[in-house]
Amino acid sequence: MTTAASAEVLKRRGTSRESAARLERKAAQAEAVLGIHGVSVTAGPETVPASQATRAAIEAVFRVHETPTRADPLHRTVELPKPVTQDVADRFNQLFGRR
Amino acid sequence: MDLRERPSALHEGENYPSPFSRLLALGYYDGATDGFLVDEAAGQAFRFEMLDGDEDDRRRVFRLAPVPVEAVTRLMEQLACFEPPRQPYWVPGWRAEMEGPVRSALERTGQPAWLVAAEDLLGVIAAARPYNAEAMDGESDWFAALGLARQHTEAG
Repeated sequence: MTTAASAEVLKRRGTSRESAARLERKAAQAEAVLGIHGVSVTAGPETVPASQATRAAIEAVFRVHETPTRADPLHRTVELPKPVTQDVADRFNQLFGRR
Repeated sequence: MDLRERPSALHEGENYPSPFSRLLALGYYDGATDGFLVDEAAGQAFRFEMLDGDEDDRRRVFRLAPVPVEAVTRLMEQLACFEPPRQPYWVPGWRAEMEGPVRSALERTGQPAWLVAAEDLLGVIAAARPYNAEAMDGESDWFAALGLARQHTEAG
């Protein structure tokens, strides 16, 4: 991981706490199409209300994959353990400052 | 719902199996946000763009515009030079060299023809209506335009 990547600030759309069920559902969908059991974030600008955390802080807990798309070349996927337990959801929400 | 019973083509209605057999995503955020859809049985293809989503992200509203199916097939062949294609749902890892082929396909996109709600465009079509540009351009509530109510956030 480069220093530039560590310095990234990753944004996750929304500001409300996400349930373990929702995170698991989205992670399972991503696993089916991206091959990564995880959820979307971006290192680019976000146009909707979002919560954020540094990539370094997230990578202390979860793996972060670079998954660029045409629409968002700075799209990243935060890999979550299978299954997403309440403890995993709590740690994820805490990282993004979601209460 | 038995998704093997795919209808022959997109039509106005609610809660029916998607007729689409392939999806190429150009954008992805917890699901496809824009790209191309192919209905191989009907020989049709569409460009899709996400307009809105409910809080739970169980339903997203998309605008669909027709594209010649051969343009999308050709694009998939061209992108396969960069990475192995995935079927039926492919989110290519973006690289700048892909822009030319994608741009060529996008330039063949027609006017919006359908408004569709679904969580997964290859799964169940929650609702579909013909897109009426005169009535819908400038629309602020896409769920209402489809006669749908928004769903609320799952409990944490």
